[in-house]
Amino acid sequence: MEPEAVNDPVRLHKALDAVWGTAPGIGRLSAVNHTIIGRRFIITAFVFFGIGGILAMLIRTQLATPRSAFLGPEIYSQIFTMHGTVMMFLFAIPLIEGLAFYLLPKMLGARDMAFPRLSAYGYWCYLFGGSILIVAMVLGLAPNAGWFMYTPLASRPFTPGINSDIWLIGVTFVEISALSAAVEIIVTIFKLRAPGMSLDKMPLFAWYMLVTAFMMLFGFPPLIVGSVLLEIERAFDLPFFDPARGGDPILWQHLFWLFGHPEVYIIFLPAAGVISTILPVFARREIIGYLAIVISIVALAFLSFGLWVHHMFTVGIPHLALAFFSAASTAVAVPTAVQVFAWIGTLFAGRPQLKLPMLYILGFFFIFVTGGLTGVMLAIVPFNWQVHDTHFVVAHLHYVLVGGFVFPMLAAAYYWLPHFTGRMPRINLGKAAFWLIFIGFNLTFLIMHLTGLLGMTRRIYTYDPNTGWEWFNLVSSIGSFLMAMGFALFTVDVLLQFRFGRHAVRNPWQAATLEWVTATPPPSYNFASLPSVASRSPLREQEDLPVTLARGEGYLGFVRDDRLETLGVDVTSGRTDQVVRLPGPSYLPLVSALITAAFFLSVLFQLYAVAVVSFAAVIGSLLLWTRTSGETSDCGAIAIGRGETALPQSESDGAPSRWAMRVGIFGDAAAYGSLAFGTLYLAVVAPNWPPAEVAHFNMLASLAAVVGLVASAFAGWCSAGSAVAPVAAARHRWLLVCAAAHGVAFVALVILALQIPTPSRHAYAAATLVLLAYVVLHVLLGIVFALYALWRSSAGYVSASRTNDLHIGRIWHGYTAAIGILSILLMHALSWMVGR
Amino acid sequence: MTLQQRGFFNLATGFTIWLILLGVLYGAQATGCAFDLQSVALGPVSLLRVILIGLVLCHAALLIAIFIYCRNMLSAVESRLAHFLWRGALYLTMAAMAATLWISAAITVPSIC
Repeated sequence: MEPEAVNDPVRLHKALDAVWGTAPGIGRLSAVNHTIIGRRFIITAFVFFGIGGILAMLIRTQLATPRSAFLGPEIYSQIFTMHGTVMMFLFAIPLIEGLAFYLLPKMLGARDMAFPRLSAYGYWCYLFGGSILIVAMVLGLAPNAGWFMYTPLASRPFTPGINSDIWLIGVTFVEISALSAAVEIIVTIFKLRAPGMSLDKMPLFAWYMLVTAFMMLFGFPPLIVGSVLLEIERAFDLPFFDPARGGDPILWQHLFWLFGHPEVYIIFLPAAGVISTILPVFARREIIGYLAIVISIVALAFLSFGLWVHHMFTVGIPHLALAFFSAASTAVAVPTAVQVFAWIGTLFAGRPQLKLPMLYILGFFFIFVTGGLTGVMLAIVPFNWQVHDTHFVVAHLHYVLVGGFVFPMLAAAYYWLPHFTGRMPRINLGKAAFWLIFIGFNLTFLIMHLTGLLGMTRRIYTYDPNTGWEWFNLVSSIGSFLMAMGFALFTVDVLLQFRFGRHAVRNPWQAATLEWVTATPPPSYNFASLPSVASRSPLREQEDLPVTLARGEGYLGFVRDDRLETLGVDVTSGRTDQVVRLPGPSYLPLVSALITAAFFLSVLFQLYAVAVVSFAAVIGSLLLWTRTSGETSDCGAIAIGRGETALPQSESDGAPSRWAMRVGIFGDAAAYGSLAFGTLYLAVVAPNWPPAEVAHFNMLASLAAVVGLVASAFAGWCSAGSAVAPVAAARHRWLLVCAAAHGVAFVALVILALQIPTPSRHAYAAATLVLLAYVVLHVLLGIVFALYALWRSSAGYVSASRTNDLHIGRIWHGYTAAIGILSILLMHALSWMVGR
Repeated sequence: MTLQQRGFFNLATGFTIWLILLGVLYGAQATGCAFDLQSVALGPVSLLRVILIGLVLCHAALLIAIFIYCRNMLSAVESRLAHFLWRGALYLTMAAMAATLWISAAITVPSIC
């Protein structure tokens, strides 16, 4: 039955805001709404950008003159390490997340992200993790081994204090936010679009974010694995990176750059998405080459994962491998160029207007293309050898990152500020800010190429007066202060617009994308009713869309049972396939993030008993989130307006939660793959192999582990089968079998672990132990999943048509069995190989 | 899985194979060097170089098969969306073939270990 339609837009607004809104005062801490979380991410990221900028000023002040006594070497090391860390981990990635959270649901025609509480949890993890790093810096304990944390410098013998631990733990904490955002962005783009928005009608920004989120999903796990291994080495003396005991410092470089190179494109692609969104608006025509751009985004993403070794050209890699990665590094210029030509073509074919956001985009063109060209130079091995670790590389990376990210983000700020604030600038300082930033930037970094070519290496805290670098450094420092003035002016301009800007009309730039359908600033629910999309430019095709949607004439133009509802669609066609019911404001994400912070801090201070308890508490608190999700009765298809019906997500085969598990497994597999790669890498390449002691694993225990893993996967699979799922007693039996089988696997795996030689003696034993521990953790979580599904089933959340809890567990059990069996095979193969 | 969904997933197929090739080549080269396979001569070339060339040819054959599959699918589908996705898959497979050729072009020349 369709709920009573509310024909009065004001009444509809009040009814929707009552359920979607967030309470004021202390209630703001319970916010999960994507507009609020997106704003928080963006504002916090800019605050960290300010901190990173101040650190850059300190660096340039120190380097302005030779033999400067402004900063000592210890403080200088902390400052350049923190500058890189803050800009990469606390500014760039979170800003992307914030932009995605704020914009995606509005552009896609949805009312929120797929998992609003996960967004909030991610934000708190980011804030707390970032705060740990900043507090450490204030206390003089900041990381000081460079933002790449290269071993052996970052290892315990050379950095004995807590500094490196703070980096490893703080950054890993922040990365939870990035990984959770990646899963959420992918599922939101897959499932939460307006009806009719098939993939070929999706805004290009969503394509960019979809590919970026996949890159985050595969790119971040290698760094998390590397950080965990390094922290284990520092805390427990397990020698993954110590060549004297079968480890290899180059392994760290591989794991770091497996993350670090894609990271550059993870930062660039969303910025390119911003350009592909804004540029056609000011060119006053649709973008040229939509499909070519989609193809180039996908190609760029893949290619970016094949270049990581170009950061390691000087470590002594064989010529053939150099040739592979040099070729791949030059190839990445091609899809980038395709996008640049599409943008230039759009400008050429359109009637461009030079409004403020466009000015920043033109700045992007000049700076980014220059940075791209020096990137191709660096891809060529002989040149790379000459300038490795010099200021030439520093100049290149700033041209790419500031040109390819900061300028587009400033364009984005001016473009979407009217949406964000509902105001237009009264006093336009943006142009002056642009010229200060543009001139200051080029003054700083153009000349830095020459400083590098003259041989000035990066990270040195001072230099002699007779090096020939003095004037270049002074000019760079003057330029940096000019740039800082520009950023200060930008900040003032934004604050003035917030406070004194004149009220903006809806859609002030005459854009065609759906985010401009909402009122500005946007209401908590985005759309009073959801649009139906028939083209890539819905607002151009239906100019009265804002009015018709506000009147409730689209989908879900009502409030049903005080629930937060939006529509879910088929991944490719955009046909409506479900009603997604979202959770309202909750303090649980904050509580979970606080417990997570307790876990990371207890690891940092080596309070491992507290860490184990905190970890269990994190899992417990996350399970508490599910108390308000799901249904305890079947209701069949429900009305969605316009005479149509759809199943609620609890009864749908394509529920977002199932997609989240599938997508999350990919990220987990990337982590496992990194771990397996690390183990094999050490066995094949590292010095001081084979080890003196080799494990002789008990075949019976190995067999028992395999049987337990296979049985748990089989039982999990059966519990969700069409014959078993409808019968409560039968599914309970299978779930108990599943948990018991995991228990058998756990005991067998512990027996195998006890047969590993002392892990601090050699990397072989250390790597085998970690591989086994990874499987044990998954098995324990498998028990949690099985018992959780049992509880949900007993509590009435599962029926013949409501099987999401069972299917989510089924995916986990199957995956755990797969990596468990692989690990056991790998352990046996390794001990056979080294024991020969 | 519908034709459209298959088209969507095939956007990633060509470059996934390319990425696997790169990883396999790098891994095989390092492992071959560790086991001294470059010293085993097979006529005028080393065993390791033959293995690497064989790996490239296998991947190239796979890419050609996917190219033919995508081309056949593109001519078979009718809807605008399916056409969009299969055309994308076809062009991405072609790009992956070009990238394969580009990165493995040097396989016969430089020293392996």
